[in-house]
Amino acid sequence: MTSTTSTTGPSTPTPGKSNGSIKPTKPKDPVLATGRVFAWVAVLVCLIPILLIVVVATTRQWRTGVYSGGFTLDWIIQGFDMVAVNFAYSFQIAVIVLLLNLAIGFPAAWLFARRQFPGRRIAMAITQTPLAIPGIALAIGLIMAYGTGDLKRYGILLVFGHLLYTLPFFIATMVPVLGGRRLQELEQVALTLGAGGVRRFLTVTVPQVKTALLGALILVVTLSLGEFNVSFFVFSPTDPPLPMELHSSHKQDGIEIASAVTVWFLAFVVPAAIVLERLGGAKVSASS
Amino acid sequence: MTTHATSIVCDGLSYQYIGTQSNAVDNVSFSVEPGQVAALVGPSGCGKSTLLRNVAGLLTPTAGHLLMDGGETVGIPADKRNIGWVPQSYALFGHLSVAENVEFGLRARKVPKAERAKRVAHALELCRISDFAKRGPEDLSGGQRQRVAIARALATNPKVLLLDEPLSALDPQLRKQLRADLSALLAESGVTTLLVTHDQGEALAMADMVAVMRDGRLEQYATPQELWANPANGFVAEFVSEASVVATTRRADGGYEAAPGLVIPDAVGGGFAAIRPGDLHIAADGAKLTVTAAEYAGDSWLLSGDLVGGARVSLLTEDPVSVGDSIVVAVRPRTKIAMVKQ
Repeated sequence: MTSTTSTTGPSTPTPGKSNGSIKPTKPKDPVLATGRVFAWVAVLVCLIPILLIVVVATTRQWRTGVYSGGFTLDWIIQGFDMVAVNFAYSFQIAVIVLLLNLAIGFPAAWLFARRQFPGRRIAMAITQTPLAIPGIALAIGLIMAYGTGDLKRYGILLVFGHLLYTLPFFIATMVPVLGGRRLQELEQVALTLGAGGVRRFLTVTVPQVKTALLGALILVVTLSLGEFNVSFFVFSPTDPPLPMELHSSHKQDGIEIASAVTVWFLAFVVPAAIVLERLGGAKVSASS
Repeated sequence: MTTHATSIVCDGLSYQYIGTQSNAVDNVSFSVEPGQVAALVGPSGCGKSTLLRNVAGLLTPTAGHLLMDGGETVGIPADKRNIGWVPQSYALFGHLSVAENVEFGLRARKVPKAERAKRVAHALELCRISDFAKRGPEDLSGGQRQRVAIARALATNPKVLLLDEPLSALDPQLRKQLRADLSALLAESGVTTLLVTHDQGEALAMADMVAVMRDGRLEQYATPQELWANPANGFVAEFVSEASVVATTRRADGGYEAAPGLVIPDAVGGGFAAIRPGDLHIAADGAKLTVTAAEYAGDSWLLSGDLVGGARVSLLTEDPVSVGDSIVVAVRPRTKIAMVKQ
């Protein structure tokens, strides 16, 4: 028996070598190429200050040059000691603000999304006004209204200021989600299946909006941790929140310490922002 | 599944949306016998889904009565009505598996665990989705999702099953196939069913009784056969059987014709003739028709054209005819043309 081997089968073109076959080429799009350059420039512009802060914070003596005197983690360690207390305080404030957003913002968003009532549009517009008012004006207003008593000393004014600043973001994120037709239909199906209000809320509404809710809450925490304008006017000097300590460090300490404090600030805030970005913002989780 | 079949009576039921001037459902009255499937048909916006939502308890009628098994149901909250509602989108809970979806209503009604498991298994089996019990809804085809939604509704042994356009989300081929499956499933379950559809063919094929609605009002409520044979008016005839409603005139011999030469047999008292595409054929003697449209339908052609006098009718023919041709048409032998009010 003889076997024959076909030599006329399809050949695989070798990359980079001309073997007679037409090599597919991507047409160059000048608009795309230019856009790409601009995008990278924008990324660099954003990254350079952050990279510089890290470099300064790890340089022994920045005044005499980059890594003059060598690399050190001393400033970073020292910076942590300085901001740990402030971070704990800021985090505490942020958690309180988060809970207040949940307690006030969620029902308000639900009401705006689900119920037609006289003055609804005006009420919605009012909840959004802090977005349009500069933080400084908001803070001065707060000081004038409530700044004379113990509210400032005990940090209540700070919480109130952060709540005013974050609530519009929370409500604006949740209203479209809670008003979604699909979510309402799921709730109606649950209702016809015999589920009462609490069960519907816990077993249908919350699982369906959890992504958006989590996103909104992380946004609240991130905004609260980094809030400066309102905090500057309403914080108690005995308990400065993290951004205030950062500001104070940049004014009083050496640039290396100030940079180290900034590194820690970024370390606290950026992960939350990344999670927020990964969540993709507010949306009802996909369901069939 | 032990289904207690329930009767439904809508008595002068009306519903008006806030901020609107007219009733979306206007003084609708009909009754569905226990175990029957009744279809609500009509063009988009005629109020059929609104009526269904009133029966489900998702909307409260602004007037009228809704009786189930003779008892007033208006005022009973939706979660206490023991209704199975399947919306057009099926609205499956995406965060739950198929079995958990089916179990949802049983959990809500605090059915004991062992009983729950039994009823879920039965509902899955009845709807032939046992193999997909552990899958998520997103892993299912359109037809499978529909069956999950129906199984979820049936698992609670509802008094009444409400299906809102259950087949409209499916592609045409699957729709036809699932129509028969759904009919068999409803027959097996024995549950009284209200079915909303805009497809008259679906209504005629699946329902024991059909309610034709227009602008919130009930135009006719009858069996499919009665609707076909004796439409209450021109709208019902046009909507249900795609008939052309043509005015008749009296002939010298006492009979009636829809156009010169197009004699309508057995037309008593004149009025309007509801002429369906299947009622006419090309004949040697009859009325002249100028073809204005010819659609190829595989085994036949659907011709539309103008009769002398201007009335437009359609007919099915096996012979290809071109647009612009003049043909002679007559009523097919042994065909009963329905006479209707305009």
